[in-house]
Amino acid sequence: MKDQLNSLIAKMKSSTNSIESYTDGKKLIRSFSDVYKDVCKLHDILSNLGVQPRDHVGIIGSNSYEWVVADFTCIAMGLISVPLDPTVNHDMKENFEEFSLKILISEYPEDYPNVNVLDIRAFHDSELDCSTYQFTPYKYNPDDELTFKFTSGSTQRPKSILAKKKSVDAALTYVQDIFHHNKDDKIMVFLPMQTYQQRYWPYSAIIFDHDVIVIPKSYVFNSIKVDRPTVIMGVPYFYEHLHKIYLEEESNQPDLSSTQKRALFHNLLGGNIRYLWTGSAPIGMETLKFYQDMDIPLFQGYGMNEVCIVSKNNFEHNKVGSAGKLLPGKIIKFDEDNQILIKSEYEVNTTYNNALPEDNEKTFLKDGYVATGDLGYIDDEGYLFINGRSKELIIFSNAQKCHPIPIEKTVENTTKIKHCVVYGNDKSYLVALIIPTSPEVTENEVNDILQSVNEKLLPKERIYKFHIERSSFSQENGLLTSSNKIKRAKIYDVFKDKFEALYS
Amino acid sequence: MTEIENQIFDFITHIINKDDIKPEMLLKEDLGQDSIRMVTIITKMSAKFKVNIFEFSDRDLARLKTVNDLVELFKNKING
Repeated sequence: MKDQLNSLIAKMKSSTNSIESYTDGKKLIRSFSDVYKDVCKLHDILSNLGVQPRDHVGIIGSNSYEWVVADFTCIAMGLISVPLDPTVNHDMKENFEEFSLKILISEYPEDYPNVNVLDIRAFHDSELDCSTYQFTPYKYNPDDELTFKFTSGSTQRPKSILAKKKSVDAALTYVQDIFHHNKDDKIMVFLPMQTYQQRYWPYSAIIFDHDVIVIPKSYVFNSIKVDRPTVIMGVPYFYEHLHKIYLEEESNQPDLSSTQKRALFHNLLGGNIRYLWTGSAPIGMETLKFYQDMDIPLFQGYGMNEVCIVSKNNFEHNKVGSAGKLLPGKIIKFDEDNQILIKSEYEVNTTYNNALPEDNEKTFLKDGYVATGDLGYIDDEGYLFINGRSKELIIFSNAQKCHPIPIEKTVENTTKIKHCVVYGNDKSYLVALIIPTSPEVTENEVNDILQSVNEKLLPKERIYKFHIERSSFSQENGLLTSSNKIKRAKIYDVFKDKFEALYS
Repeated sequence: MTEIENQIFDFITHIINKDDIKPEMLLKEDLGQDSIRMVTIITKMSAKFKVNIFEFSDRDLARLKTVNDLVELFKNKING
């Protein structure tokens, strides 16, 4: 495997490619050779504070140039970064104990007066002469750990896994091999930097000579138009929402030709898109087909924190609806329930950092495979398809089983339903909680949709009764994971009375 | 409500497209505005009131709970 990360800091020093961001409302464009100077300053500050290689350092803040400098400095110094979600409240003292933090680098240092905290902007005030400052970047071994990745547990506190350097080298190398990012590319990062795959793009920019723009989520629709990226990484819901924004704009301009419609959508995306990247959650066929019709490649893939990227559609091999072909270094097999098991030549790790022994045993199997919890199959041409979650199997009182996700996706692929969650463990039939796309959708409309969907389903898969919920699921109310997947167990718990009432 | 507060409130009502919105209503729980929809609202409001969206942080959004919070956020940005 090519050693990518050990060359990162040296390449940064001479890179003419740029990172773009916004600071205090103003656009900031900086070449990586200038970023190197800021890394030197933060390196100097942290060294003076007694921070040593292999120390654990927390980082918390919105996506920003400063976040990227903090991350690069961690790599340069051999620190293990612990990225924390800035949108939730933290007991930081507890985090210091749990993750053995030496220091916290924070956008909001005033929020954490009782811990050892450094303002993420501190390097801006440094007067260090970078031309004379010298340090030797930390030299990583393949099995050295770089950062904590947090996995979204469905019910309990998130589990974490420490990512090994070799898994990052492999992901960077194989992704570059299929997408050939180059000096004409500008990759937009707006999903939170605390998810590790977002941080791959600044690394990739330096190693493979392209530009990158890093922004908080709140800027995304404006920034796409103004900053004109060539590649965007987003979750399916983001692309579904862009589709809706387009439909709204199209409805204000009747009688557009198909060429004009295409131009309208391309302009909405800044007019410079080479391809769009998605994964993390299932995406509806309707959305995929819309992007295909608009000549905007939207490539779905599959991966998870425990195994990193597994498969990806791309320009050469793309089958709409699939999660693409396997990347090199990934071996796949299926258990008796069709659960996907993945073995990696360059594994992320072989254990969670903070999980119960039984959680580790269930996921990290003795033969080196990782049990993903996802169900799927490989078709005749080698494309991976995901069609459910094994952990979410519904077992009826008569021992018959059904997978809820395909049923829910069929309902959600209709126009007026945002979320559908079916329920039926130990019961004789399925019921559902339905969240319509807008408050105007009536009970009769929902009823008609479900009747129509039921006609296409097997009897055991049919939804016999439903409850319409007018509140929504969100990460904030704890009913969606950080990748916008539903937290089924939590939803069952919160709405237990509503579900049970449908059986009375 | 002041005149500017009324203007902001009316525009929010227009975007969310619902007549019976009240200032104390919760954006997510009562009006179904999840985080991506909130980004859309902020984008439209920034264009309407000529506020520089690049001055907002994700934390500004995360702290918005009610319609009134949104009115206050924009009123403060407009007033500088």
